[in-house]
Amino acid sequence: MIEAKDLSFSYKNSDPILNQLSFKVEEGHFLALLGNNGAGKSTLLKCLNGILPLKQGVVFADGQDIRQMKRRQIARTMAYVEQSSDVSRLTVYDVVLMGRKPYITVGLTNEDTAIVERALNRLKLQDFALRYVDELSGGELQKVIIARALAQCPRIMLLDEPVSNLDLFNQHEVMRISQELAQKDGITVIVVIHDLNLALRYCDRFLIVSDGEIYDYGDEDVITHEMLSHVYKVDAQVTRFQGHKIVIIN
Amino acid sequence: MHMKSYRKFQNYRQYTGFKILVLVILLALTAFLVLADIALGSAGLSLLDVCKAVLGCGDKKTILIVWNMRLPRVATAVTAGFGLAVAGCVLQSILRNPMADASTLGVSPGAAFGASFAIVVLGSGIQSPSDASMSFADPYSLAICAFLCSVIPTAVIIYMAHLRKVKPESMILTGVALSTLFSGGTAIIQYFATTTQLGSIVFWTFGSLSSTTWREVMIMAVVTGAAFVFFLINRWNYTVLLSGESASKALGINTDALIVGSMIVCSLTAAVTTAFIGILNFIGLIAPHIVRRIIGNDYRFLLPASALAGTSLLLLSDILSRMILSPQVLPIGAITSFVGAPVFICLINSREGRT
Repeated sequence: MIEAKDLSFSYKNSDPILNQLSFKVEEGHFLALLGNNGAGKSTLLKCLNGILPLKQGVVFADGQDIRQMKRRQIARTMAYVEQSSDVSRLTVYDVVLMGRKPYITVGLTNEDTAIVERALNRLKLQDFALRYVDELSGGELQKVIIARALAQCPRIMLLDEPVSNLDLFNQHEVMRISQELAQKDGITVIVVIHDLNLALRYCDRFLIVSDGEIYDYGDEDVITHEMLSHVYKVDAQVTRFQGHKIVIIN
Repeated sequence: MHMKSYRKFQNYRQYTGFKILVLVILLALTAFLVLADIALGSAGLSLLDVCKAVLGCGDKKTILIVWNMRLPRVATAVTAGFGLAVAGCVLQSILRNPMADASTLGVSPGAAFGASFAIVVLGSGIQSPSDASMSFADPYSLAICAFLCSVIPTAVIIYMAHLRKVKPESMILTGVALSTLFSGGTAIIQYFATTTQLGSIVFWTFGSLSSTTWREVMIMAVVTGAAFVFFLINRWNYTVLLSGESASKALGINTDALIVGSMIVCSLTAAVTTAFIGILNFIGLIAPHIVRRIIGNDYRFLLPASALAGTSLLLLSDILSRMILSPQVLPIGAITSFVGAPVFICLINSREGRT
C-alpha cells in the first residue's frame, strides 16, 4: 500500500510541479498514472520513492512515513524503474544482482543468489543471464530492469514509462508481467504510461494528473470523453470492444 | 576480449571464477615485474639474487643494493601505480565519465602549480645539479605545496557537487577549467623563474620514482591502503552508480555522500602520490579501461584488477625508462605518456570499430 498526503513539489525558484496531491493505492492494485507531457507524472514517482525531496506533504509506504526511513529501508520496500537505463559492460545476472544491494552487508548469501535466479526465471531471462546488457534489445533490457526491481523483493513497484520504446509484443509482455506482479504477488504497482488502451487493458486503477493536480482517480470509469478532451486536448470516443474499454481518437 | 565470449560460461559461478583467474594472473604479472624491476641495473643481479635479498638472505652487498636503492624505487612505483589506478577507476564511476581521472579534475595541474610555487617562491629548488638522485633542497615544503594546491580543485568541485548540485559532466568541465587556470599560473611562475629554478620545475613535472625515501613511501602506502579499504567497502555502490543517480538512490544508496566522500578520498590519494613523485599521466585513465574490457564493470573485481594493472603499467614504464637509453634514465612521466597514449588510442579504436 502507498499513500500520499498533501504532496507538493517544486524545483528551486520555479512554480510548483505537484500541488497538494492526496491519494492511496491499496495492496495488489495496478495503477496507471496518466496525464499529458509535463503534468508531473515522473516527478510524482520520484517523490513517492523519496528520490526527490518533498516540499510539503508526506508519503506512507506500507504504513511507514518515508521521511523516517533510511534509503536502504525505502529500497527494501519500494522499487523504482526508470524510463531509460544506461548500464553497460555488466551481464544480465550482474544487473539483476544489483537489486540485492539494499540487503547486502558484506558479501552475497545463498538467499541473494536464489532470489536473483528466481527473478531471472520469472522474467524468462535465464538463457540471457551471462550476456552483456549492451547486447540486448530494448524489450529485453526493460525486462532485466524489472527483474532487478523484483530482486529487491519490494511491496511497491514504481515504473516510469516502461513501454515507451518497446514494440507491440514487448509492450504487452511488460504490462502482463506487471499485472501479474500485482495480482499474484500482491505488489502495489504504479505505472506511468501514455498508451491509454494499454492502460485500460491491464490496469485496474487510474490516477489522472493535470497541471500538477489530481484531475480524477478511480477505476476505468474515469476514462471519459470529457477527461480526454480536458487533459489531453483531444476529441476521442470511449467505447467497448470484446469486453474491453478502448479509446479511439476521432 | 570480445564481450560476447561470456556466453561460453556455463553458470555465474564459472563466470566469476574466470574473473578471479584474471586477478591471479595480474597478481603474478605484478610480482614478476616487481622482481624484474629490482633486478634491472648496473649491479647485474639475477631474479634469484633479488628473491634472496628481499627475504634477507644472500650476500650483504646485494641486500644493501636491493633494500636501500632498488626497493624504495619499486615500492614507490607499486604504491603510486596502485593509488592512481584505483582513484581513476572510482572517479570514472562517480562522475560516470570514462575520461575521468585525477588529471581531468585538475589535481595534477594543481600540484604542478604548487611545486612551481615552492621551487621559485619558497626556494625548494634542486640542491645540486650534479647530484645523481636530483634531490630537492626542501622536498617536504615542495610536497606540501604540491599537495595543498592539488586539493584546491577538488575542494571547488566538491563545493559545486554538494552545495550547488551540479551534474557529473559539469564537474569534469570545472576540472578542465581549473586545470587551465593552474597551467596559466604555472606559466607565470616559470616566466619569473631563474634558469636553475626552471630546471627544477621541469625536472619535477617529469615525475621521478627515485627521489622518494622509505618514509615517503610509507606515507603514500598508508594513504593508498586506507583509500583502497574505503573503495572496497563501497564496491557494490560504485557498480550500482553506473546506472545513474536516480536508479542508485532507488537501490538504497545515499548518492550525495558517496560521491563527495569518494571524491575526497580519490583526490587525497592522487594528490599525495603526485606531491611526492610528480606528474604521471594516463595510469589512472587507462589501467581501469584495460581491465574493464576483460572483466566488465563489476567493481568487486574491477577495483583490484585496476590496482594491479596500474601497478604493472608503472613498473613496466619504469623498466622501459631505464632500459631504452641505458645507463641513461628517461623521465618516468614521459614514458607513461608514451606507453599510455597509444594503448588508449587502441582501446578507443577497437571499441569504436566494434559498434
